[in-house]
Amino acid sequence: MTLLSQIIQYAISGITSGSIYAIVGICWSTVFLISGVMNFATGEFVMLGGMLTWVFFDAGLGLAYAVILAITCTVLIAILLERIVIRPVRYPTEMTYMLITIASASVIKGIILITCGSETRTVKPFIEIEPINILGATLIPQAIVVTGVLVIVTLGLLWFFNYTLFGKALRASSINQIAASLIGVDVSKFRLFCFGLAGALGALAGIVITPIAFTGYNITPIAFTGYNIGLMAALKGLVVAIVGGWSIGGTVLAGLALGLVEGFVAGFISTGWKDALALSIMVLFLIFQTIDFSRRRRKIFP
Amino acid sequence: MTDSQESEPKKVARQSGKSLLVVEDVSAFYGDAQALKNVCLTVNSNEIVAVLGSNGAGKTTLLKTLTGLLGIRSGKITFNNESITDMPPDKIIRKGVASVPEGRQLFGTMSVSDNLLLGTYSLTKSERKDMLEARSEMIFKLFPVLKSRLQQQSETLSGGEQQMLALGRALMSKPRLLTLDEPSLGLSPLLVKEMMKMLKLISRELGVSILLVEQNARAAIKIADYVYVLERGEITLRNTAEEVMASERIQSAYLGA
Ligand SMILES: Nc1ncnc2c1ncn2[C@@H]1O[C@H](COP(=O)(O)OP(=O)(O)OP(=O)(O)O)[C@@H](O)[C@H]1O
Ligand SMILES: [Mg+2]
Repeated sequence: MTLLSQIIQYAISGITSGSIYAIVGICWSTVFLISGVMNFATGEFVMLGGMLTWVFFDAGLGLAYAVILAITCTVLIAILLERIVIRPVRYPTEMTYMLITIASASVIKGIILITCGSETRTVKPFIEIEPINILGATLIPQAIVVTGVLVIVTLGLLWFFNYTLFGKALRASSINQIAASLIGVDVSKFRLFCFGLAGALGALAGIVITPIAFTGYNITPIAFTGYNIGLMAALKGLVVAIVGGWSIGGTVLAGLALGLVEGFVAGFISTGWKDALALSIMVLFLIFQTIDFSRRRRKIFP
Repeated sequence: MTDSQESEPKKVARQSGKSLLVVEDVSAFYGDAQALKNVCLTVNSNEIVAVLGSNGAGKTTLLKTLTGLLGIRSGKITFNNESITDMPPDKIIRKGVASVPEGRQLFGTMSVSDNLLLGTYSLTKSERKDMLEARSEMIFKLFPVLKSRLQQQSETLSGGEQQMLALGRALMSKPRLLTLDEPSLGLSPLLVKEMMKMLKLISRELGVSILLVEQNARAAIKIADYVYVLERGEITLRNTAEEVMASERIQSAYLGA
C-alpha cells in the first residue's frame, strides 16, 4: 500500500467507527439531558441490537425482519429499564443512577452471555456489492451503510428537535423541567421516551456494525458483535458526548474526530493504543471541563 | 407552629356561587417546616385577587400548591367545581390554570417565538391553531417589543421583556385562571404601573381570572377586587380592595403604608 492509500484506508475506517461513536454519544446525551441519568447501560443497547439481530437472523428470519425485531426488543428493554430501576428511585442523585445503570448493564450482559454464548457474531452485509477501490484503499459497502445511518439519524434528530412541537418541548424540559411541567409536559413520560429513543438508536448502531467482520476487512474497532462489546461502546460514546458538549452537532463532530484519530493511531502506530487514547482524551477533558450536573439538580417536586 | 389560637372559622367568607378557585384549609410543609397554615382563599370568575405578603410569607409556596408543584399535607383545592388536590402540574394546566412563576422560568436558550409556541403545548391541535393566530396577535398588541424580537433567545431579553414573555407564554395556554408570582419584581415604577394596567385589561378582555401574588401592595390593590394578606403562612386579612383602600387603619397595620 502506498502512503496515500494507507491514509485513505485509515480515514475510511476512522469515519466508520466515528459514526458509531457519534450515534452512541447521542444516546447518552438524549437520556442525560432530559432525565439527568448517566446511563451506563447505553452500550448494552448497542450490544443487544447486534446480538438480537444475529439471534433472529440465525433462527431463519429475513435480515429486515431480524433488524426490526431487534430494535423493537431493545426499545422495550430500555423502557423496562427506566420503569423498573430508574423511575422508582426515591432519592435521585447522579451517583445512584450511575451505580444502578452499571449494575443493570452487567445483568443484561450476563443474560446474553448465558443465552447466546461468548462467541463473536456477525450477519451478512446489508448491501451486497463488491468493495470499492479508492486509490488503493478498500471501501466496504457496509461502511457506507454505517455512515449513511449517521447522516440520516443526525438530520432526523436535528429536524425533530428544531422543527416539531414535541421535539421543542423535549428541549424545553432539558432546559427547565419545572417550567416544562407548568406548560403541560408530563416529564416522566418524556424521560421514558428518551430511554426508548436511546434504545432504538443504540440498537441501530449495534446492528449496522455487525456485518462488517463478515466481509473479511476487519478494520474497525468494534467490527463484530459479542456479549461483551457494550462497555467499550458505552465509554467511547460517553467520551464524545462529553467532548461534544452534549449537543447533537458537537457529539457528531467529536465522534468523527475521535474515530479518525483512532484510525490513524491504530494504523500508523498500534491498535493497542486506540482505546487508551480515547479514554485519555476523556480524562484530559474532565480535568479541565466540568460535566454540568448542576442544572439537573432541581427536582420537580421539592 | 406552636401558637394554636383557635383559628376563627370565618373561612369561606365569600359567596361561592361563581367561585372558580376554592382553597380550603390548606397546609403545606417543607420537610418538617410548615410553610402554609390552614389557608382558605377564593377566586371568583372574572375577578382579580391579590395576595400580599412580605419575604418568606409563603406566597410562592401557595402558588406552588395551586399549580401542583408542591403537594399539600391537608386541605382541599377545587377549581371549577373539580378537585385538583394532588393533581400533577401537567394535568392542572389542562384544567385552565396557567402560571407566571417566580423568576419567570423561561426556556432561556430558546427563541421568543418558541417560548410562546410552547405556551400552547397543553392545547389540542385546533385550539393551538386558534391561539397562535388570534391570541399571539393580541399579545403582540399588548407587548409590541416581543414581536420585534421573535427570533431572539429569550435569556438575552431585558428583565421587563422577559416578564412580558412569561406572561405571554402563560396566556397562550388559553387559561381561565392566571396566577402571577410578583410580576412587578425588578420592574421600574413606570413599568409596574404599565404591567398592572395590562393585567386589568387582560382580565377584562379575555375573561381570565387573576390571582396576583405581590409584595408591592400599593400597585396590586389598585387593580384588585379582593385582597388577602399572608403572614408567616397564615391568612391574616381578607377584605375587598375597596375597603382596604379606604381604611388607613388596615393599610398601616398590614401593609406598612
Ligand atoms: N424548597 C424549600 N425548602 C425548604 N423551605 C422552603 C423552600 N421554599 C421555601 N421555603 C421556606 O418556606 C417559607 C415560605 O417561602 P416562600 O418562597 O413561599 O415565600 P415568599 O412569600 O414567596 O417570599 P418572597 O417574597 O421572598 O418570594 C420560607 O420560610 C422559606 O424559607
Ligand atoms: Mg416568592
